[in-house]
Amino acid sequence: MIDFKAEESDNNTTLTIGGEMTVQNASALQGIFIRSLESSSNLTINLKDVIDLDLSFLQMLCSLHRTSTDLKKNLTLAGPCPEVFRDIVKSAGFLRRTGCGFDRNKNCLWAEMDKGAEKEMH
Amino acid sequence: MSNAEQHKAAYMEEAYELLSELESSLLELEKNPGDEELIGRIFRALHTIKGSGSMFGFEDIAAFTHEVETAFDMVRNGLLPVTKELIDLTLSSRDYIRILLDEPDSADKQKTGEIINSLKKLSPKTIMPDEVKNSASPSPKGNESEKSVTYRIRFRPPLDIFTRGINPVLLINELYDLGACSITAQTDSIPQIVDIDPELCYTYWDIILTTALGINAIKDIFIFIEDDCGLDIDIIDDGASADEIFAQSMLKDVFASQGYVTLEDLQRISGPHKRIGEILVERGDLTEKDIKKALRKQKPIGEMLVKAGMVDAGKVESALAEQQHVKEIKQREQQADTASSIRVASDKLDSLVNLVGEMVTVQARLSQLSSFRNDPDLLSVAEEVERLTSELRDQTMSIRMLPIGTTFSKFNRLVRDLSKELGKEIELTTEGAETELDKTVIEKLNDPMVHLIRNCIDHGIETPDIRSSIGKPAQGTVHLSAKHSGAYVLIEIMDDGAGLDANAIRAKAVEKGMVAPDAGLTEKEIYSLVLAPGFSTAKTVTNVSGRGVGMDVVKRAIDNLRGSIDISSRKGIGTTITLKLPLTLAIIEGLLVEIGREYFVLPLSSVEECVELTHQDIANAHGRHLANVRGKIVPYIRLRKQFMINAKQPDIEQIVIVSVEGQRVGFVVDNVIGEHQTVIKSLGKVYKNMDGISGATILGDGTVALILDIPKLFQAAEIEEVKR
Repeated sequence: MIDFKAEESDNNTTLTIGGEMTVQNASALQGIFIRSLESSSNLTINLKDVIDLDLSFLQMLCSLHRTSTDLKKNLTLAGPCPEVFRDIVKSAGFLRRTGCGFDRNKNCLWAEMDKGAEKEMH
Repeated sequence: MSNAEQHKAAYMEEAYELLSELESSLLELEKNPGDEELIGRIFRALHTIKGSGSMFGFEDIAAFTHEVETAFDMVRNGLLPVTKELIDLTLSSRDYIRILLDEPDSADKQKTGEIINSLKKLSPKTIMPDEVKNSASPSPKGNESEKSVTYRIRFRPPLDIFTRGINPVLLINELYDLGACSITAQTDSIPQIVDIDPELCYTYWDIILTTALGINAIKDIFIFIEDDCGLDIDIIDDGASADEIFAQSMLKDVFASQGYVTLEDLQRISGPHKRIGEILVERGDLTEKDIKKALRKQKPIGEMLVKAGMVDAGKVESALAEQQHVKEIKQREQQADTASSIRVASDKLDSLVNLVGEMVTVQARLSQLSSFRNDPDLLSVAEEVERLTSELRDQTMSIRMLPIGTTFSKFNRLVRDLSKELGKEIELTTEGAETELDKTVIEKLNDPMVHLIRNCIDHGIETPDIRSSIGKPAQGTVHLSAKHSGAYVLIEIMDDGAGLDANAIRAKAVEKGMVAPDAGLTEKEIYSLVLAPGFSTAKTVTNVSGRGVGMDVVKRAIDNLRGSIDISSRKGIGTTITLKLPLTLAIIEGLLVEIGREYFVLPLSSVEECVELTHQDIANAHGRHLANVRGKIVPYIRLRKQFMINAKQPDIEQIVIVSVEGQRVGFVVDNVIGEHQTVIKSLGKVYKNMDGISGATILGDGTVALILDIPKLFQAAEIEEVKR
């Protein structure tokens, strides 16, 4: 079960999603992502209501980021991310020092998370 | 043999060794249930049997052994106690694995289930997987003394892994249980959001893991999907052999220990252990050419340090010399380690011994020829060849020598199982396990020893209640010992059981018509009756022994080994059976003698001295075959008569005095030629029943000399004497 809410302000769309971001709900989420990206050039995703997630969700975020870069759009995660999300990112080995080859805007979701984690640690 | 077959054969050989190690470790563990080293040894044996098994296509063995290994993993982690039941089950598992190895088709699949179920029943039911996991961490499983190896793992799960209900993240996180681990997800295959199928897994992982548990432990984690996933495992640091790492770290140590620079300085300049360029080239992300191109701009560390003014060039030079030195020593050590022992197929050894045998024969011919020619040059070459051949022979023989302990340890299981079956308590003790015997002798000794030990357990040692009632300890003992005695090895099988009943044996022999009712027999003679075919005093026939086929088979086997059996026993105290066996069956030192134009060889080890026999001596003995040697009477056997040789008798004959069963006996020959390296050749089936001759050898000029079977000749002469 997932729920989502899109809020627009100053050319920016904040998509707040919640519930279980697992493979069972992945197709539904894909639709939401595609529509949100089509309608906005600056998309922020807020994960504060996410209660569960799996690798399929991380892949989808990666994919969304990659597409947004190609479309010269901006995608960011609204911080701070919930612990359940940070745990999975870490245990799935997604944390990065620098972004991958697709990260032309130097705003890799996972690299940012790493810096965020470092900041938190300091 | 194809490569795969060779690997399979090597696996089987290794598995047999591991199985016997497993058996002996289990039996030891039964005595010392708390011994962690033994538990570790058992686990490792099972682990290797399983791991190599699946690698070489022995899937049944791998799957079955996995279950047993799991049980022992629990034992290792203190979750399952070592009980008699566990040992019994593991021993049965060991036997079953052996069946799977020997005759996989005849293996009873039902038995697999039975053993596995019983093992599972032993496992504590309250333990949930999480608890097992927790108990293993935070300190990763495994013996810390084992060498840690660093692996690079690339794991590419099947695309549809989500729909199979497997969570790949949980799977890779299991690697943390094995040791220090860093996991990096690779996301380059993830498509655009419009193209992605959200139910497929596009992610793959690069993992660096340092563990002492071996590659199989890693493979085990991926076992459920191993056929469908991409799994590449490479060793990037085996803990010792990475010279590169070693040299680099050593250079740092040298610099730091001499106080030239601080470690921090060096770390700043030289970076991590494995250089980034090497890692990139190994992964195929960059070519070596690219690296070289980039490196041309970079200077060696020594040069950099000198340039930075941290150290002067002389210091770098000396540090480099030290580095080179230590590196060479390390390499030499490694070479020595590799060369310390090698595994050779036993048939190669057999053919080597045959060749040495031929060589010895040819050398004898050369020696003979050179002494005929009387050419000093030829003589010196012949002598040299003789010396070398003799050394070569000794070396070859020593290669074939094996400690008898391997055979002894096999009997532990026999004693354990038999005493359990018969409701007796018996301990097996051994002594002189390091005594070495020729490989062939050891191989042929196994069956007779099994018969003898079975007899000790079945007929000899009483049940615990009987033992207690007569004041003996409830637990009986079977003692095996081996020791050298000249060119022979004496093996004793001693029990503290009821002893032989001389009257019962005699009565039985009379009943079977083997001896006359009024025959005057010594105790030793009565005991030796049990070696006769068809003799058994057991009141009931059990499946252990008592069919009367054992002892005569034992006797025949020992005779074939040119050995002898001696039985001594005291009623109520116990029985000792002594086997006297020659050290080797292939080449012996012999004494070459001549009668008429015939040549004979006597084993030199039993020869004591040679004396002359004149007509006068014969006349003095008044027709009896007795010689007076320094005041002592020595009976002799005339070989001329024994072998019906009619050539002219010389005036002065020779008596070769040998020791047989503690007595001095003479063999009269025409001439004693001298010492002879005797390559023993068997006489073939036609002469199988020939008494008094144990083989033949070929002399330098091609003549055949017969090897005398001294105990047999002696017995025949005794019987002859009794008849008179």
